[in-house]
Amino acid sequence: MLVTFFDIFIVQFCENERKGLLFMYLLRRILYFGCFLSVLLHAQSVETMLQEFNVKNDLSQKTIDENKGHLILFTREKLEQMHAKTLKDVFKTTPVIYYHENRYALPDPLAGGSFSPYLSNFIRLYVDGVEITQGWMGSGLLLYGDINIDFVDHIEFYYAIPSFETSVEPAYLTIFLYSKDPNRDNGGKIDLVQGSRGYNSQSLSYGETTDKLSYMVNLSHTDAKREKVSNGTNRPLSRDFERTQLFSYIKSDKQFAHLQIMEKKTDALAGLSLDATPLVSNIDYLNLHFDYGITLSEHWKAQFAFEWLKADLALEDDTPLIYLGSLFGTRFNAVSKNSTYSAELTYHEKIGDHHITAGIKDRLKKLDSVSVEGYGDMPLNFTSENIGSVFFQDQYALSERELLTLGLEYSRLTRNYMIKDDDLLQLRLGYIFTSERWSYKTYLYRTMFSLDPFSRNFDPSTLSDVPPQATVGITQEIAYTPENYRLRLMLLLMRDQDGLLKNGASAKTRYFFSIVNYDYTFDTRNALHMQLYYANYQDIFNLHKLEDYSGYFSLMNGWGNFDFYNGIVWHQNSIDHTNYFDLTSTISWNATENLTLTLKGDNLLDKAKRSDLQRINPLNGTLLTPLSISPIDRRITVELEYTF
Amino acid sequence: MRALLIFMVLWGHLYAMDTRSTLNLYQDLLSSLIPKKVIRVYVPDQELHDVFTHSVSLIPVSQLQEADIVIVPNKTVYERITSKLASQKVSKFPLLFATDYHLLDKYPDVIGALYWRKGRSQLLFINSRLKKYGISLPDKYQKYSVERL
Repeated sequence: MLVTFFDIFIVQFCENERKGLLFMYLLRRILYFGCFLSVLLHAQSVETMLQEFNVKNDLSQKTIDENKGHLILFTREKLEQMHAKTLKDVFKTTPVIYYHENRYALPDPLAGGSFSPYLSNFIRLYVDGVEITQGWMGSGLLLYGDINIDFVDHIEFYYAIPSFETSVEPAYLTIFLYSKDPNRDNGGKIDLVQGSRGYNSQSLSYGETTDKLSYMVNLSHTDAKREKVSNGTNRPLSRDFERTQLFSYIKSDKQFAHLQIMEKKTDALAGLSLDATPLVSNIDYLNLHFDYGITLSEHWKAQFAFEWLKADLALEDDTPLIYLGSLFGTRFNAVSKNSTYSAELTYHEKIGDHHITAGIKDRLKKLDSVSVEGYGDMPLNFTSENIGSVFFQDQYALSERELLTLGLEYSRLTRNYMIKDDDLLQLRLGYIFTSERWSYKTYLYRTMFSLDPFSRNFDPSTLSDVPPQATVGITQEIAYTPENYRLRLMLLLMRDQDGLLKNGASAKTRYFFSIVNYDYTFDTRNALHMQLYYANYQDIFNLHKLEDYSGYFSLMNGWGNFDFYNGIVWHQNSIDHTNYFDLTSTISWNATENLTLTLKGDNLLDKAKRSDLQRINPLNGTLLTPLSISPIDRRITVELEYTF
Repeated sequence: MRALLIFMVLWGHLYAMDTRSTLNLYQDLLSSLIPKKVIRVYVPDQELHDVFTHSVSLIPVSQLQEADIVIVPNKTVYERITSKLASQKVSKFPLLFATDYHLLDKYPDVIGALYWRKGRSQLLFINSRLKKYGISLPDKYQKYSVERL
């Protein structure tokens, strides 16, 4: 009808004009094309509405707090497309601090292959807003850094120190895992994975919502047969592990409780062998976490958490062990137990344009016992550390689109035995601007870290006073988000004073990071993600200057009943300028609404990033050639996923 | 008051569902099933109920017998609603539309569902069930319908 009307109008208008015929012809063609386009757009409108509904109602939209820092988000959709089965699958793509394992084959990005014990207490890990502490070990990353994430809906990585509302101890990077909601994942799911070298995992989940309660249970088992590491002997280093993990919660409108249990039996790679040729190197862990939270009123919230960790160590070498050799010689079979209790009470108030949060927190870390085979229970000196904190945070709305945030936290760390107490003062000042398409945020902060109890106990030289590290930093982020894509630039500048990671005589490391993200969405099933990272460190790891580059490019596609994911992570640094590429590819066949089969390849090029594991000749104390090890195994897996 | 917008943007959890995108989709969807200017909807889910209160064409009702359509969130609610409808002498049964795939799969009186699967929203109608109510979907929704599961 529209075309006919315009045809008549144009014919009348141009009836005496010879050129009008050509004009009319062209206009008619344009109108036909316009109508065709209109029909096409109309047909896509349901998809557009679904896409908008999808993005705006993603569960992550309920948990994201832009004031926590600079965010890298893995939505449920993205995790599903990546077929990420463990936190490691995600962690290996996040810049600044990438996934690495220590000489005990545990997730520990900041320790790398050094002789130092667990050092990643600058990275904090939370599940549903509650920190997993693992007490004496520094941070929950120890066991949860490569956890099975079948119970997880989405993951948030925040850079810069987190808001004091969420943190008890300071951090550079905070990882938040949020569990699935039975409102969207009602019913059960079975997930079976079989892979190279006999790698296999099984996971069973069930969740349900009733009128007043919702609950979820996930039980998983992983038998990780991993690549061996040649150490020049006929006993290559092993890092296989077997993990059984329970995650469960029950929650109502105002209360929640989580229970998590994990048993992980590990082959501990080089363990305490100086030259990385252990005769025996096994550590078994048993971890229990329980927490309870309650909203007491409109203003008050309270939370309590308990954590217990048992480590059963069997370590033996033909030469004296690192750190312990002078006491126990070449063999150390021991069981250690530690407990952590955390409690916090927070108060929220809105006064005009101020959003005020204040609270008190306390965390007690106890080393319960260490029992050594042949020696019995060891007399322990340093067994207790208490962190008491008080914080105040004001978020003031300067306008409808601008927020000014100010935070202040004072913590007192008290320890038994002869170890000096520490006073930590942290400050955080931020400005956030947001509009329909543009956003900008900047933070200026001063944070302080003290040496973790585990490091103090493990290395007697650090039982003496170690001054806390102070870090000052400024960070900025600008993002532009039109309809189909998002472009973001993040800049971070930091400087340490009295750095805990010693660097020869200097402990004043300076860091500069920049991250660029570009995410383009073609439609509901097709998207690409690109990320570039550059870092420049001054005075770090006994180097005057270190430059670090990386990139991550991924394509997610859907066609019929098939989904495809291809992602590549690239690394290079100024030490050896070697290029590393970690290619992950998956093909999924959604056979029915309930059944999906997936073929996945990890590290397909076998060129994933490697790091050095340091070795010393125990006979003469000279440095041996380090072992070059990648924490990412080359692996092909087949996965069956069934929902009911 | 000026704080409202910035806090809305920064803390999504204060607002559980996005009103605009949710209403946009449900208004279009439900008006394709029920050709009325004002559709009375029984919404037991509180979050969705709160969203529907912002609509002029979708009116949440508190009585089941007044409803043109019921948005069923889970099995418990389904069982409660169907037993209530069976016990009452209702002249016309409301349509049942689910937000969980299992309900669509299990109960033959549920005509369609808008649900989540692997973090992505999915829409599905069952033609044979729609026919029982004399409903013919507009062309744009045809690709979201199947004859049977």
